[in-house]
Parts: sequence; C-alpha cells; structure tokens
Amino acid sequence: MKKTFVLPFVMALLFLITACSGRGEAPEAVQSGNGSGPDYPIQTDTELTYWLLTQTTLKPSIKDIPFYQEWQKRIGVPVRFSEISSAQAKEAFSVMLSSGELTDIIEYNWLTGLPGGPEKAIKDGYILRLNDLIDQYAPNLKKYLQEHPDIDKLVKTDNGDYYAFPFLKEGGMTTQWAGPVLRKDWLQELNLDVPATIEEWHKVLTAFKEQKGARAPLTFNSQSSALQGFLDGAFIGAFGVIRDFYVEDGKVKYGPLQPGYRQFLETMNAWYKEGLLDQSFSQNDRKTQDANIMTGASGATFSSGANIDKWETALAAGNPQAVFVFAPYPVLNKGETPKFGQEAWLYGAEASAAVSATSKHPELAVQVLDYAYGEEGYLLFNYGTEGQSYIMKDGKPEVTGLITQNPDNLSYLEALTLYTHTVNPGPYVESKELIGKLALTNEDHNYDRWKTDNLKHVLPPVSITAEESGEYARIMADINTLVDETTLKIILGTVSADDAYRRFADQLEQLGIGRALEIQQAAYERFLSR
Amino acid sequence: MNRRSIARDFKRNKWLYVLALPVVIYYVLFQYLPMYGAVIAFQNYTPMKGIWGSEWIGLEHFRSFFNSYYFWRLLGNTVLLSLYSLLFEFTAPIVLALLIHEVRSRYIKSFVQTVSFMPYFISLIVVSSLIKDLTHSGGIVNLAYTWLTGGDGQDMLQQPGLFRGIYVLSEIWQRMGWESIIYAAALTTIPREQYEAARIDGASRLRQMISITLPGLLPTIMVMGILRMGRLLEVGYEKILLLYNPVIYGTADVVSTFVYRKGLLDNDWSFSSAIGLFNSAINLLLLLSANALSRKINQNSLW
Repeated sequence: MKKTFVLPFVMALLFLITACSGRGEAPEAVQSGNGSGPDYPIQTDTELTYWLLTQTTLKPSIKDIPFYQEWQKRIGVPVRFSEISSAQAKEAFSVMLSSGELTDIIEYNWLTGLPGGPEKAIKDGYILRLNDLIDQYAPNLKKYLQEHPDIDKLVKTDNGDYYAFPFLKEGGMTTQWAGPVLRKDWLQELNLDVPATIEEWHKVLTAFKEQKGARAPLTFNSQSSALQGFLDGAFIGAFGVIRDFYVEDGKVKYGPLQPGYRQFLETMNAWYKEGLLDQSFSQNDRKTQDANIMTGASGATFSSGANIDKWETALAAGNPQAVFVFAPYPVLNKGETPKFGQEAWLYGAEASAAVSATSKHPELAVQVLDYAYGEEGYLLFNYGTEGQSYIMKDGKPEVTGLITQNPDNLSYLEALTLYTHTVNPGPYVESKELIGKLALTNEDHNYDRWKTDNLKHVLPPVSITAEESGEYARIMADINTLVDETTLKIILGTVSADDAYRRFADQLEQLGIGRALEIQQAAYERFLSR
Repeated sequence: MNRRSIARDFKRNKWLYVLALPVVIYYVLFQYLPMYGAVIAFQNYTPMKGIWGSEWIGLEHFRSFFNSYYFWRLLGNTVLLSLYSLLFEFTAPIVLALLIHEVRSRYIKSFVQTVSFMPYFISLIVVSSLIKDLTHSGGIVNLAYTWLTGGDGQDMLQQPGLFRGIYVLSEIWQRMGWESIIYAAALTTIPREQYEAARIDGASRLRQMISITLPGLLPTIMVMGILRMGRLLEVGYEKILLLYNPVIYGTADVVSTFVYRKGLLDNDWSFSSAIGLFNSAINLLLLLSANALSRKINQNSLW
C-alpha cells in the first residue's frame, strides 16, 4: 500500500533533479584568432576551472602562492583551481572523469595516467585534439615545437594529435634528478669508498649495520608503489633489467621475464634476510623515510637531490658532520656503465595540461596555457617576478636573496616553489640553467654521478592506439598485480625464488604478456617512424 | 485495499507518514536512485557518452570476470574472511553480553560496557594506522607475537598468513562492545521470575545461562544472523584497503577491493560494476535463503 505513495513521489523528485541540472550558459568572450596570440593580460570576466595536483604544502592553497598570484595578474583571466594532493590523485581523477563534470583545464599524466592513453581520451570525449587550437591560438608553443622537432615528436601521438600543453625539460638536471645516496661521514669513518658494484654495496651496507648500528641500512620511500625504490632502476638495473618494458636492439622486452630479474630478486632476498634492506621497505611513506634517515636508522637510500638538501639541513642541527654523497647506480662488474637509472625524456607526459572536451571556452584555455611558452612566460615560470625573485644581470636572469637566503628561513627549493613554478612539474619549459645552478652545491652532490645508459633502453613516450587500449589495460592490470606480488614475496622470503619462478613464466603467458609485448612493440615501431 | 481506504488510512495516520518522509526520501535518493547506474555493467561505459549513449555488450564483463585469473582467489578470500567474521566476530558480542549479564556489581558492569564499546567510535583511518603501527616490525603487537612464536619480527602486514587473524581480531576489538548492546537490551526482557524459579529448583548459574538466558536471546541472535548473512560477501573492504598491500593480496584481496581497484584506479567502470553487481546478487541470494531457513527452523524471520 505504501508503494503507491512512493511512486509519484519518486517522479517528482526525478523531475526536480533533472530540472536543477540544466545550468545557465555564459556568453562566450571570443578572442581574436589571427595566429599572433592575444596581448596579455587578456581582458575577460570568463572564469576558467583548472584541475591539478598540489605540489607544495607551504601554503594552504594555490591562491596564496605568490607565483600563482603573479601568473593570474599577467594572464588576466580568473582561474578557479581544484587542488588534489598527489596521494589522492588517481581516485580523484577517476571520480572526475566518471562524473562527466570536467574542469576546463586538467593537468595530469595523460600518457600513462589513464588506461588507453591520449588517443583514447580524445576518442572517448574527455579532452580535445589541440592541433587546430594550437595553430590558431598558441603561437608560443607552436614556435617552440617548430624550433625543436625532436621534442615535437615526443609530445604528439602516432596520429599526430597534440593532446596537452606539455611539461618540457631542457635536459641536464631537469631530466636527471634522483639516484642512490649514502652517508658520506659514515663511509669516511669506516674507511670505505663510495660503492659502485652490488658487491661493494653489500660490504658497505653490512658495515653500516654492524658498525653504525643502522637498523635498516638501505631504506626506500614506497609511497606510490610497494616497489617504488626499485622502479627507477636503482639496484635492479645492475642486473640488466627493470620491472617494466624496455628496449634492447630494437626489440621490446619485459623485465620480469628476463633471467636478470630473478638474480635481482635473489640478491634482494639475501639482503633482506641479512637485515641490510629496510624490513618495511614496501610500506614506507615519505615520513618514514625521513625518520629513518634523520635518526640514523638508515645510511643509504634512493632519493631526489631536493630531499638531500632537506635532510642535510635538518641533520646539521645535531650533527654537522652528517652529509650525503651521491653514488653511481650500482653495476655487477666494476667499470660497467649502468644500464638503467632515473633519467627522464625531455617530455615525460607528467603534469601536462589538456583542455577538456566539455569546456565552453577552449580558445581562452589555450591562450592561458600558451603564455608559459613565450619568453615572458619562461622567465616567470622559472625565475618568478623581476625585481622580486630575480634580477637581470648582463642579460641573464639571476635569482635574488629572497630565494637564496630567504628571510622566512625557507630553503632554496622551498623558496623557489613559492615564487616560481620551477622544481615542480607543470605545463611550461623547465630551465636547465637554473636547475643546474641549484645542483652545483658541491662535488659530493654531482648529478653526473647518476649518469646511466637509461635513455637507450627505456621506452620513449610511445602511445597505444585507442582500439588496443582496453585490451592492453586489462592485461597489464592483472600482470602488474602478479608481478608486484611475486616480486615482493620473493624478496621477503615468503616463497622461494625456485618455487615462484617455476610457475611465473607460465602465469605471465596465461595472463597475456605475449599480446602486451606485441602491442608495445608495435607502438614502439610507430614511434620510431613518427 | 481500495483507493478510499488508502485515503482514509492516510488521513488517520498523517503524522506518521510525515514522520516517515525523511527516511523514504533518504532511501529513494541514496539507495534506489543510484541503482539505475548498475546498467553500465552491461555496457562499455564511457561517461562522456552517458548511460544512454554507451555501447551495450551484454554479459561480456561478467564472463570476463568469471574467467579471470583472480576470480577463484577473490571469491575464496571473500568467503573465508566472511566466515571467519561470522564465526568469531558475530559470536563475540553474544558471549560478551552473556558474561556481562552474569556480573553482579552494577559498577563493574557499566565500566566493562563503556570500555568495550569505546573503540567503536574511533575512525577507521585512525584504527588502521593504529593497527599498522602496532604490527610494524618494531610495533608492540609484533614484538609480543615474535616473542610468543619466535618469528623473525617481520612486519605482520607483510605476512599473508596473518592477515585474516589481524582483520578479524581488530574487528572484534572495535565492534564487540557496540554490538553487544542489542543483546544486552534483549536480555532485560527476560522475566526475572524465570531465574527465581530456576534457582528454587536448584539450577546452577551455568544451567540458568544455558536454559534461560540463551533461549531468551535466540530470536535476537537469529535476526541478527539473517541480517548478517545478507552482507556475507560484503566484508569491510574499507579497512582492507587501508591495510593491505601486494604481498598479502593472496589472502587479503576480496571482491570489493578488486572492484575498487578496477573501477577507481584503472577507470574500468563497467567491469567494476559488473563485479559489484555479481557481489550484490550473491548477497541477496544468501539473505533470502538465510531468511527462509530460519523461518523453517523456528518460525522466526525478517518477513
């Protein structure tokens, strides 16, 4: 009986809901599209929405960061930000896509962040193919890409689609920023050299454990993945593999299927058993890593140069001798060049800004984004505001005391994140010179020590076709689960490598690794012929 | 019933209807309306095309889940974890209520009750980080465990064999006191005279518990049990999500966490809802059969 009452009620509600969701549409303020670009600041009241990952914790919101305030002033377009912390990025991104309510501009890794990649994102109607818009409204980016054909090849798909305003790097330390590091003072005290081979590392870590009382001599930050510490090729690269696809002699290979991977697992298992590897290495977040380093529980880790700056400053208070030295990526035999390491392509797709297909103001969005790629924008994004965070000296920008000796006691890097966009990824071109200066604090922190043959072997930003993407994504989701699980189980000694490997190849086969390799190989070949 | 009598009923009980209104609105808005979204399980759903524009593919996603490499493991883990919960987590509050019932001192009684239901109010996030800290390689629970079993002090959440135990124990710790309240309430309805009569007949306290308290509690236990059956495959996945990691997928990965990973991390919404729908269908089936069974056994059922 009650049901008869519910039905009309539901109808009324449904009506209400649908009636409310038809939003009023603002009239478009169209800018001139003559190819020469607008004059900044653009005069408009149209507000754009912008979704991005927040990199800084120094201020409560992007609105409070001087760099963004200045940027807003220069472009003249009001922007409303949706800031997402990187820990929630994946869920938040997925929720936004599935809701269908997209912001005008979305800053994300469109190449690997979304199964299927950019071509599928365009085909499914999330983001716009930008080719025409760039031709008409983004003269700065267009010019940059024309002048750098090697980069132009990286930022588009095989179909020649531009899908985002890219985060570009000029090379040098903008592409290479992380590697193995150790406590230099401990090495000196124990009369040891900076280790270069896996064997030497074993010796050093054992000494750290036995003579320095380190509870977890080698620690990692595994925030985004349980195997994060190894993903950039540290330690695993010594065995000639990575936990991913890579290229050798024009052939795409899958690391976990290679014999080197098993060797790597057995070595790490031995280290784990001997207590050289952090017993919770797969669980640590950044705070645990910080704590391990600061309390002397660990003497070695894998880290970006930026962290080391932070740790040395913090340690200096109680122990001025505590300093770090960059160690080369380990190899098996002395004198070899490490095959893998952290070195990014000039374009790696992270934090690149796409324009959503539902945006009512795509032209304006493109104009806003294009600003960073011009001369003025380049200076603003890398050096900040003239007279405030940098001055021109002999025609070259130079950062001021506000950055180098910050009155609020911010470190060099922290100050940079407040007054410039550099250090953090985003849609602009990162200055090699500025970052280079940053790094040259002393010989121990020489980024050249982290040189590897990485770029000869890791895959460039290839793109998978929209047709293959669903199949590929599902195959790899299952495979990734299996590989992570098996890898961790062997390292932790839950199963023996013999037992696990007896079935591993078969399981991978069953899950379709053959097909995934085929897809990757084809994508790689398409990339080469771009 | 005809239209007139409905109108009359409405007139007579109009304030009751008004009272029920918020609840009805809640159910319509948050429980029934979202259900139409389940149709995407039969589609290759893309949000930009919406539900009516996406391509229909029938049972493809279900087939692909049943044939999936992880299907049996997921189902096994889910069922096992639920059975453990049913066995221990469901019985623990009953035992606690019975024990509290036997306590004479009113002060001890209320003290035990307060202390035992306090953990229920701690947020899941906090509980999870507590568990993580305590079972960490240097954590106090881990130290105790290592001391007892002579293990190597490995992080307990990295050992697949321990996950179910940790999960169930922590659930008991958190919910036992809270859930015992309903039994405690049921116990107050048992007439005092029965105990007095039993005592005069010379029944021991244990005898009284078995012959008076337990039967008095049985209807409540049955109803709670039936309700619980309906959630058999719906283990507390939020907690698992916060606790698990790839090393212990072997025992910790359940259908709901798989749904989460597929849907929210891999953006495979359709596949994910197919699995979710399957999960709910099984739950419904279990609820119906538990109810039917209970009606057969002791004429006591939800409807």
